Amino acid sequence: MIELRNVTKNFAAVPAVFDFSLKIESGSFFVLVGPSGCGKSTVLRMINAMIVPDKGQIEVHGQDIRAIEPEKLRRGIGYVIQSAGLFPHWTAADNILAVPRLLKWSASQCAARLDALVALLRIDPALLSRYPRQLSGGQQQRIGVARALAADPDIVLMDEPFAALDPVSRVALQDEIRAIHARSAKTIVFVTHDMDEALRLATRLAVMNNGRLIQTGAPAAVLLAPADDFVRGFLGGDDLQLRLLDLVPVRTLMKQGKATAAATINVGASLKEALNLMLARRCSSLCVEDESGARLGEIHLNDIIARRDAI
Amino acid sequence: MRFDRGSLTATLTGLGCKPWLWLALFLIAATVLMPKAEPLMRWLFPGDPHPIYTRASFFELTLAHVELVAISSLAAAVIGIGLGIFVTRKSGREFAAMVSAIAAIGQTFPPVAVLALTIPMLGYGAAPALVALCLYAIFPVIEATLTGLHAVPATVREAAMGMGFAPRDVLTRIELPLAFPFILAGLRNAVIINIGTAAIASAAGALSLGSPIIEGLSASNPAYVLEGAFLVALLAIVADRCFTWLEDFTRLGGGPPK
Repeated sequence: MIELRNVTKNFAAVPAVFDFSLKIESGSFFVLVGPSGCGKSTVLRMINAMIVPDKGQIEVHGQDIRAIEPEKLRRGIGYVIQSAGLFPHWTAADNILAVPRLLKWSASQCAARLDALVALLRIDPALLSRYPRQLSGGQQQRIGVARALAADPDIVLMDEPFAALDPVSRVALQDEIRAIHARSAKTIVFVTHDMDEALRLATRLAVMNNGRLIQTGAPAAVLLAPADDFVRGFLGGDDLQLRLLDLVPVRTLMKQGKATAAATINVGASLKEALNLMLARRCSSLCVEDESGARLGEIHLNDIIARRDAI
Repeated sequence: MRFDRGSLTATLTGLGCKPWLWLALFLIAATVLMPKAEPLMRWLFPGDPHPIYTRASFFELTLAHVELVAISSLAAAVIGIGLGIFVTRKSGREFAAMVSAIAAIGQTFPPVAVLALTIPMLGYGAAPALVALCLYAIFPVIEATLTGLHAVPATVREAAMGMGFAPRDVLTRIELPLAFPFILAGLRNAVIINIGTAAIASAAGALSLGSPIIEGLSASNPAYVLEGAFLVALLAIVADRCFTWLEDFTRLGGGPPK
């Protein structure tokens, strides 16, 4: 667990973060979202002591981070930044193994971990001997994520890691990190200004503005009940209903029984995907299948329109 | 200059393309064979009864010259790189402007004036010359070190610190290797400048390739000047080629530290 208590940080007398308190539960995918300059990166960088707060207290796993040597703290926390920040004079493999080697892992431990990470992040092994300048932006950030996960930290901090990537690489890496989070008990603290990215990834969402925390909650809860006009505006007021559909799986509105519709959709897909398919096929109902292809029932357009989201 | 590494270089550049080696051999030959050039000097400077400098052998002069340059450049490298590192650390940042300014003054101060100031303190000989040369060479080294350290991307430094590199590891494993090509370029400048400037050491009574030049100037014997100047120029070219080779070698062979 990570806890910030009444944290304040000023840069040259300009407040960046003001009287900020936040609890991040272990195992959550916690997304800090807000406009540029709202202080979200400052909050992130205070967690691994890259920035020292002027006032307040930060605890990681119940221990005040001021009591921990910064290097030791950071070696236990994964860190990914926007431009990957790979070491240009090291190969991809050496970059990935930077922290294990700082921690003096044996060569065989390092080799085993490298193999595991290559499999986990689906890295082409041919890339491992290349230098960063020989890699595309997406490949570099994939290596950057592997480097952050290398020593298997409980906590991973990610500072707009995918903001500079092309849409294809971005979605691929978002899926990758979401899957990694789902399979592990890691706590991920993720900073972004992209609301779509935040909603796609978060299990908990915190909206920040002007150095203050405006609202926290489950993504759907924040979408359904924005605390104020700023949050409503930032969530993209006009698209709010469509965004909500993205968070609700088909499962919740499926009617079991006979299924006669022409098109089919997976039970785990979102209502937005269902609606999209209905529009594309010009139909008002879809068959619902599970992973094995067995038909479970049907979903109807009217049910989507009439639904009441219970969060 | 190790020959087991020679095989690597040979495959990369080809044996015939090692100009520094051929030039170095040519320089040694020139120092040894200079007295044999007497007929040429007599033809160039007719009427000169002693056209070959004989107070010391040219080999001896060249060796003394190289020694002056090597010692002063090494000292300048240690001081220059050290100061460059110091003023880019948290504790030394406030001295950055001052160090740059002092180094720049060192560069604009004529070496002859430094000699004039240091001879009363250190006496005649190599010592005042070494001080003058060292002061002269510090500036390019500091500038190159600062340029190299500032060229390290902020994101790379940030990533290293964020991953838990201690400040010392950031410096030795990330910043210095990345700044090395810049520092090497600065050293190259410093050494080349020093090879030319070291000739004034003879004005303080030290042995160098400047000895025949100064003697030639005072005794109106242009043959001596030509002999000294020729070897100084050749030495500078050899050093320059050596640095080119060193730059290529460290770029191609310099992999990541394990």
